[in-house]
Order: sequence, then C-alpha cells, then structure tokens
Amino acid sequence: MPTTPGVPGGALPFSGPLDIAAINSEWGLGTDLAVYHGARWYYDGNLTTGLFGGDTIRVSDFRGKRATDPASGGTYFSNTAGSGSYTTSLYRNSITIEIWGAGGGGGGGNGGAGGKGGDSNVLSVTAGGGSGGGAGNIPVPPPPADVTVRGEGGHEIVITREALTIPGTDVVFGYRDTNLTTGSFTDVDAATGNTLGTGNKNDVLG
Amino acid sequence: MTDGTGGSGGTINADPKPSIANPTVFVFLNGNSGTNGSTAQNTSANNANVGIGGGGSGASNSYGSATGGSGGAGGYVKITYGPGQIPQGNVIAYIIGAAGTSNGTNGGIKITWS
Repeated sequence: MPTTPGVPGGALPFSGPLDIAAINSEWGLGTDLAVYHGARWYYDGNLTTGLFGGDTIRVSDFRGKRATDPASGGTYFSNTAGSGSYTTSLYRNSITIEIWGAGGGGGGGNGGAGGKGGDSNVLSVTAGGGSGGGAGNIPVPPPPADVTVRGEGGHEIVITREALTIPGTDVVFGYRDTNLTTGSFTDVDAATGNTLGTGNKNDVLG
Repeated sequence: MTDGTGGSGGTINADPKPSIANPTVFVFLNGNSGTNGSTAQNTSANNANVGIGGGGSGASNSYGSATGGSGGAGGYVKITYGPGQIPQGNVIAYIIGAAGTSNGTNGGIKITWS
C-alpha cells in the first residue's frame, strides 16, 4: 500500500524481502528502475529527502524510503478556556505558536467594574489578560430633608421637600415643599425650634 | 455623571524566555487599553487573534446617564521554530484564560506548521 502524504509510516523496509513490485506500488513509475532517475524520495520519520541518481539504480537504493513527504502542514486553534495540549506533527519548514490573553470585561454604566480577563500561558510565557473597564457613575442627589412646619391653625405637620436640580446635571439650586397645598407656612428647624423662614405655596427655598 | 475608565491591556511577563530555547521569531506585545466610557469593543492593531475587551454598558435614569469603560485587550505572544526544533510527538501544554465579565472574549492559541 502506498504511503500517505503528511502521515509518517509505511516506507519500504530497511531489511528483509523487497521487490520491484513493492517499489512500483509506492512510486507508481513501473518496473524499469531506469525510469526512477530524478524521482524524489523521503526517509520516513525524518526530514531527509533526495533524488534517485547514479549510473545504476538498485533495489537496495529504495530501502527505508517512500515517495511521499511524511511531513505535513496544518493549523491547530482553540479558544476554550482552561488547560489543553497539542502534540506536534512532523513538520518540514517551521512551526509557529501564537497565544493571547483574555479580554477584560466592560464596566457597568452605573456601578460595577468589568472583570479581569484570564492569563494564557504556553512554553513558560504568559500573555496577560486585559483589565476590566471601570464603572460609570450617576450620583443621586441627597435625599430631601423632612422639616416641621407650623401651620396656620397651629397644628404641626411633616412635609417633604423635593430637590430642584438643573436638568442634565446633579446641581441642586433649591427645594420645594411638595405637599404644602394651601396658604403660607413658617419653616422651623426641628432640632432647635428656630424659625428658618416663611413662604407661600410653591415658594422655592434656596 | 462620570463615565468609566477603560481597562488596562494585558501584559507579558517580564523578560520572557520560552522553555524551548532559540526560536527563530519571538514577538510579545502588551494588549491595548480599553476606552473610557465606550460601548464599542476594544480592538487591537497587533493581530486579529487577541482577547477582546468587552464594551462598557450604558445606564441612565432621572439623574443622568453614564457609560462604563471598555475592557483592555489581552497580551499577545508569537513564537516560531525552525525544522526539527520541536520533534514530532512533542506535547505542548497550554492554558487559555477565561473572558472577563462582562462581554470580554476568551484568550486563545493558534499553532501553524508547514
């Protein structure tokens, strides 16, 4: 059976019986050895190659040789995270190994940085993973202060202040007492009892 | 509102030396950094085969909007050997790094012989 290109094995024997029929089976050039002048041969299992030549070609000249190149070309690729291995083929010219680290994750828009990409390693060389992107941040204005208001009837009620911001920014320019529905009010500091100011419905306090 | 900063690119260990010595070509490149406040994925001019950083996410609410930074790309190594330097049947072990969350891509390995 003739040898297969790129697959080591199957060369003619180094010793033992060897006839012209076996040679013809491998090269396919016929049984007249004279026509093998200039034909290329390869040793199986290594990179040695040459051409048949000389005044006379003998059957012994074919021992251990084959007609096809046992070396091959090809590509191996993997991007599956984790450990792995590759067993080298017999190559003739060169072998190139490329490896790269993982990419970092993207940051969140409002909190949560991206995670770091993992390192990759081959032949004791480490290709580091990228760092994660930083998180964006949308600050929230301070919560509205609850204040005590002495109403017209002498009752005290608790109302809520709404922070008034410049649209598109976090700049607070004032506050509005949102659940004051009628009349005027007096703003009293709940802690000290001091009067902070007076106003009417929808007044804006700086 | 503050956009997130881009992540740093992956680096190669200092003064690297392959365990199989005397390669004919040895290239190592740090990965590109991510971009501040970027939803676009980070790319690298180094090589098509890179770990790509994920794009930052956008967020918005009644107080404004912001975008996270994109992740940095992974570092890259290329090693080439000549005939017979790595014998047939030699086992080359490797480790591939996992993608950073979120939306980074795994590392990888590519071996080409001729």
